Amino acid sequence: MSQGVTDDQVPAGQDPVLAVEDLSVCFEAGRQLKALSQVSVTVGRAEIVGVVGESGCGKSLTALSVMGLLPHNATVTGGRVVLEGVDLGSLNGRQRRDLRGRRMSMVFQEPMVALNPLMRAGRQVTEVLSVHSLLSRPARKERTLALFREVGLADPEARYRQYPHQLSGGMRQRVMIAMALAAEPSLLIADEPTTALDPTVQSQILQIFLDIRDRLGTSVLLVTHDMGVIAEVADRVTVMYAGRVVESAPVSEIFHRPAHPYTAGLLASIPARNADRGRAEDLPTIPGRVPALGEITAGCPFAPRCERAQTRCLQEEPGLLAAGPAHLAACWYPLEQDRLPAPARSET
Amino acid sequence: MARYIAGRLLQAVVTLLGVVTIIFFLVRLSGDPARLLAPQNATATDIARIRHQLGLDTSLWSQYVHFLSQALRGNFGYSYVQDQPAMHIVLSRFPNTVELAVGALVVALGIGIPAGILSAVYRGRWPERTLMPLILVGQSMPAFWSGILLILVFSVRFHLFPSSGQGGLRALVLPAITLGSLSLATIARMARGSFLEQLDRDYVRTARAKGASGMRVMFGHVLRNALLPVLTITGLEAANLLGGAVLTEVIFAWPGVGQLTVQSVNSRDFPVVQAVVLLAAIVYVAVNLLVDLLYGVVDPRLRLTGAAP
Repeated sequence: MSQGVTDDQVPAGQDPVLAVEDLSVCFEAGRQLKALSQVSVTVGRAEIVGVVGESGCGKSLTALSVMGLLPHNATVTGGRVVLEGVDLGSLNGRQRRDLRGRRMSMVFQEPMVALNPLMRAGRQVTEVLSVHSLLSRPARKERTLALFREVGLADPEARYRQYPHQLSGGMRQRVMIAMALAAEPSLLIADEPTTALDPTVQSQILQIFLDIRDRLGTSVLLVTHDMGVIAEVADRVTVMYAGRVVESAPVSEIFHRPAHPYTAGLLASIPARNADRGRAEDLPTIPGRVPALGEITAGCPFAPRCERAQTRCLQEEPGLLAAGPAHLAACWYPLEQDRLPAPARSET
Repeated sequence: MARYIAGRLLQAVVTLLGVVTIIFFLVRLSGDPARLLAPQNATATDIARIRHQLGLDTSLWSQYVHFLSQALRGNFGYSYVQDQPAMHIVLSRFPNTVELAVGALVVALGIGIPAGILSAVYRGRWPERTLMPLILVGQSMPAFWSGILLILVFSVRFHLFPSSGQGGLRALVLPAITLGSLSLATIARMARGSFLEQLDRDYVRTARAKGASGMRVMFGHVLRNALLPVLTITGLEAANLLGGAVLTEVIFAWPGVGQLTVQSVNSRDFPVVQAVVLLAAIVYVAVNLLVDLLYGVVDPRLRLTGAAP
């Protein structure tokens, strides 16, 4: 489908737009609950990096940490976030706020509640320009109308004056994206941007991300639970489980040669990949459930659900190890070549 | 919209008829006004004559029919005590009550909303820990006590404000504080709860993700959303205040409708009591309708669907 950067390389020779390095985040709930444990993700220029995992794996929390919008009871306890060479941890609140919306912006999952219900769609976008630009009021409106056209909103003048409840789900998400793009950020973070939308709208919205990547060179960190979305737009993928990165690789590596049994399990449970197998009941599932915060003990957090687990897995937590070119996996006994699932993506 | 207002007006007529009927029979349970009007040594025939003059010697039912048919023509009877139309007396007092009610609302909103916002924003910290108990104290003190306390301190001791009567802003201060402190607590609590709820909403996070400052998030986004429930409660409070504040008006000798109510109940001045209650009911219904219409102005979700809130 779409590959902006060739599959087998992390963009080299240039600094990444975003580098999350060994980020740890704890929740304060009577005791410290570790929600993120040494998470590392990088996003190169004009690259779309998918962060994938089940609910509660820490993928949204990673996104919010980057934005500096963690909930009140969560704190960063280790590691750092570097945006275009600037360590965000070294900035004060005001400097950090200045980057939000301007250098990095965020699109949220449910646009109905993510937009202010009492503010017209147009003003919600022009507000970004009021905060971050010196444009005059008419210029802000002009720019907003242009943004509306860019994200595929028909009749932008009418949309400009409407309130969120008067727009369809897809339109609202387009308004959200226009808002996120208003100040031409280097990094766009999208947290489950298509989950609340129906499938046809979903692929239209994903197409917008590809467009802006190609046209504006915007980097995208795409958080999703949906491997199908990843297959459609991502260049590289980071798989998270229980607040940790368990595998990271270019998208074709992940789909063709997953090294972590958890990734393989996720891939096996995509309905489309199994269309030829017939009935939906035949879909394989991963047994067990994600451990709750504070439930994780020694060893690999996936071990209790892993059919390949050995004694070592229950005693010692694996770090990220090379599993191929630009391919890392946190597994003592990664899947070997002979155990690969059949390739499912049609490459032309 | 016109349909909606027409519906509400029809509802209002039914409400007012009910109120008028209840008060008509209720005041007649309070005793015989003729006995109060008659001089000490009046004979039974004197009292009967007074009763006849007031039209109280006919059956209750025919009195009621007579009252309703007159009321429909805008005639609410003459006061038994003062030789004036009852509604005229009530309306002459009404501006004073409006003045006091506005003063009390200014106190309640002017202090209540900022206090509510501060308590929500500084949840669990010193602003909330000082403000909320203070407000609770203000609410817990009955008007007859807090009013007298204010008079003692600010009129008797420091001679800052007059202790009674009406005239000018200075005279309004103490009664407005006394009356407003009750609504203040309700409004502050509602504002605090509403702000806390709104601060957790996703659109607040979106606004912060845009890089908006704390002030911008609060006043550009949260305030309007959070004030919707405050508007409702303010309407109810305003309607109550406009009905006359009996205790406060009596304590400060404020010549409003509340004071008139006490006087006319004591003297069994039925037409005046009826007129007071009718006016209060009309004001109550009108203010509530106004608030519902305002809701549509503030919240576009209610305006454009045309649905009743």
